[in-house]
Amino acid sequence: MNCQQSQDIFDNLLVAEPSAADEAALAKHLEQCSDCARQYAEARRALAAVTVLDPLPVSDHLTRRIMEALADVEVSQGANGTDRDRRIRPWQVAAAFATAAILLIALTPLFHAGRGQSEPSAFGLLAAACAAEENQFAGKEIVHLVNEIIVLPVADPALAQMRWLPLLSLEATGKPRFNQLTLPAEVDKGYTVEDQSWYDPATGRFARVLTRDGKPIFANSYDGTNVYVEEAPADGPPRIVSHPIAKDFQAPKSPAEFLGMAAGLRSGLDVKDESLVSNVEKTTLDDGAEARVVKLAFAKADAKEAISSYWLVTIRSDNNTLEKEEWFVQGKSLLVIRRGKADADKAPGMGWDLAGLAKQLAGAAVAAWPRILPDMVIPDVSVEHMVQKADFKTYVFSKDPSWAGQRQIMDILELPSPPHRMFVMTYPAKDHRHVVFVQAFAMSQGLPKLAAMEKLIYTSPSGTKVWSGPRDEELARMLLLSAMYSIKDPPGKEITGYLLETPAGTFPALAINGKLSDEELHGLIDSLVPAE
Amino acid sequence: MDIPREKTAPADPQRLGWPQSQSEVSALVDAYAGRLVRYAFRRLGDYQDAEDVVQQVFVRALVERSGHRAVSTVGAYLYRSVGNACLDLLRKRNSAAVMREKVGREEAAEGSDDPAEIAQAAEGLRRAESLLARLPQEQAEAIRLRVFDGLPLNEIAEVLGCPLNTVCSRLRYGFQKLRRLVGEERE
Repeated sequence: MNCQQSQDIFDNLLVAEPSAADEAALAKHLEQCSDCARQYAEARRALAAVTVLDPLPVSDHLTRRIMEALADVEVSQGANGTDRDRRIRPWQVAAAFATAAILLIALTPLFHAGRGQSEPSAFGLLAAACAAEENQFAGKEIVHLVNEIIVLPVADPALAQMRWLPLLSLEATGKPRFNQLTLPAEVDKGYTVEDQSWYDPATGRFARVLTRDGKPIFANSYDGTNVYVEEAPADGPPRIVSHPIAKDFQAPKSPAEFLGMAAGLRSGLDVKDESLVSNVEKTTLDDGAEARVVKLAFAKADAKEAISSYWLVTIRSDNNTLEKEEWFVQGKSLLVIRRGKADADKAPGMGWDLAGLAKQLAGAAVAAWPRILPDMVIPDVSVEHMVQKADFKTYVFSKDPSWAGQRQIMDILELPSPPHRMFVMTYPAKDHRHVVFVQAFAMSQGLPKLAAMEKLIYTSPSGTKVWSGPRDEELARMLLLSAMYSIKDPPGKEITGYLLETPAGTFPALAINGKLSDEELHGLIDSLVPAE
Repeated sequence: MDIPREKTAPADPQRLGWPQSQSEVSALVDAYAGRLVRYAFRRLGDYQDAEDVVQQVFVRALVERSGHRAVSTVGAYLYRSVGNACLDLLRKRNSAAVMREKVGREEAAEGSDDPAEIAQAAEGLRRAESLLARLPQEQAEAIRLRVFDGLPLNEIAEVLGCPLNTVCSRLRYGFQKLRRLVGEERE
């Protein structure tokens, strides 16, 4: 090899690897030529200068972000990329869970009488607002309140379809019934629902009517002897149905729990989770009054990710009443509830028995939307009820967890895919290691894709698989929040979540408000049997 | 001889052609995500933006999988997609890419827990970029793709949209200048 040939090798170091023969010849030449040896050393230094470390490892955060985004695509498109119309996105499930969690927490006082102490915080502000709302019903005169529920135009078809609100009605037994007001809309189109309430403090009579474009879509009243409710049978027009009150019926003591702006948004919480309420900000209302804005949010486990679902609640500073509630999902404002102008206080024109409304409904067609889906939540049901109502195979633990108390099952309308039902099974524990076990139709549709990215950590003798992955904590937090009506503790610092795969092909989720030993976890999973 | 080797993923997902499932895209993520993020970072100067762009490209790879069956050089296509996405982002920002002269420690070694490794990576990258910044841009870019990203020549040609011979010329002339610069530094 001569100097020119060795120069060619140096020049082309980034282009082609020299052959073994060339390398041998070059080595021999370098021993004899000091100038080429110097240039060779220079070439090595130049290479070393730009040969930085191997591509640095991808951060777990990035990998997880991408994997979640890919799972989102896979699920939203279906296995063959054709099932776009019936898609259920993981974030929708998450958002729905989150909203359910928040609202169930808000409903907590209805299950557990008693109030938490008010605090000089966002919680305290909400409590004061609820007290102010309650005070509106405390006078001697008939109260008439008007709210507007504004369904905002959105471009995303999924977001446009997923809006809803909890809507309580009173049953003839005096117990509340938890319904869902579904508020879907066409893409880029919105509408307003008028929500009117009347209450007579002297007698406890009340009426609540929701209308869209003057057409009633929901009505519920109590006239002292009967409870009235609008029903929409599948085979006929909507009608007002009268139910004589039960012997032990008692008129609601807290009308604000189901009438007016605070309906379904109570803050006299037995349970306080400061992470849910934040951002107390000042603002000025259109009428010049000062107000505070409180964010009621589902906090995600990963601080880097955007909060997917939250309410902004505006509270007037002059009288603490609620001025506005606005619901955001994925940063988009989907729904606004604001106080409207009421007529002078007077009894409802259609009568406490809704007779005037009955005439209006006669011959009316059932509106496509908004619709009322009854029994969004049925608290404390039996295993038999669960088996009967579920349209998928359900499971129970044949042995209660040794460290936890009595089982309670809640039947909830499955928000991502109504009218399917989901079942939240809770075991409150004295040592706070509460157990929450959730079975849902939508989870069995969407979660297998996520399970595929997780790690199998245990298989029970009966074939139930336990999957674990980076989403465990987030999953556990959602489940624990969803069950706070029962366990009454906010999620602790150490929480555990698992995705299960049953022999029936369903994907329940399990959360523990704490840590379990392997023995405890395996014992729990081994006791899982089909519900009968 | 310490010649940079072409870097291929252990499973060599490229051989499978364009990914047709989430698991196949996941294999590509393992093989390319780090390199693509750094490639995007070189263009955008912002690590978060770089991650966003790469995620967007992988998602698009899955969404548009049926239309890309004919793509044979997956890696090059991903690089080009990231490059285009970076350009789009820069146009939106209405600004030109500004290469950071100082690479932040955290950004340079995102994902590494070893402080010594972080410092070494940051220093190595800073020095390499300071040298490459003194070369003509197209020569520097060819060297980055070859050395930093370990791409084969044909894929570099695809990424840069130029003939193979041009890539070889840029690498050859670029390396000659690099050798000279390193030599001058020593003097």
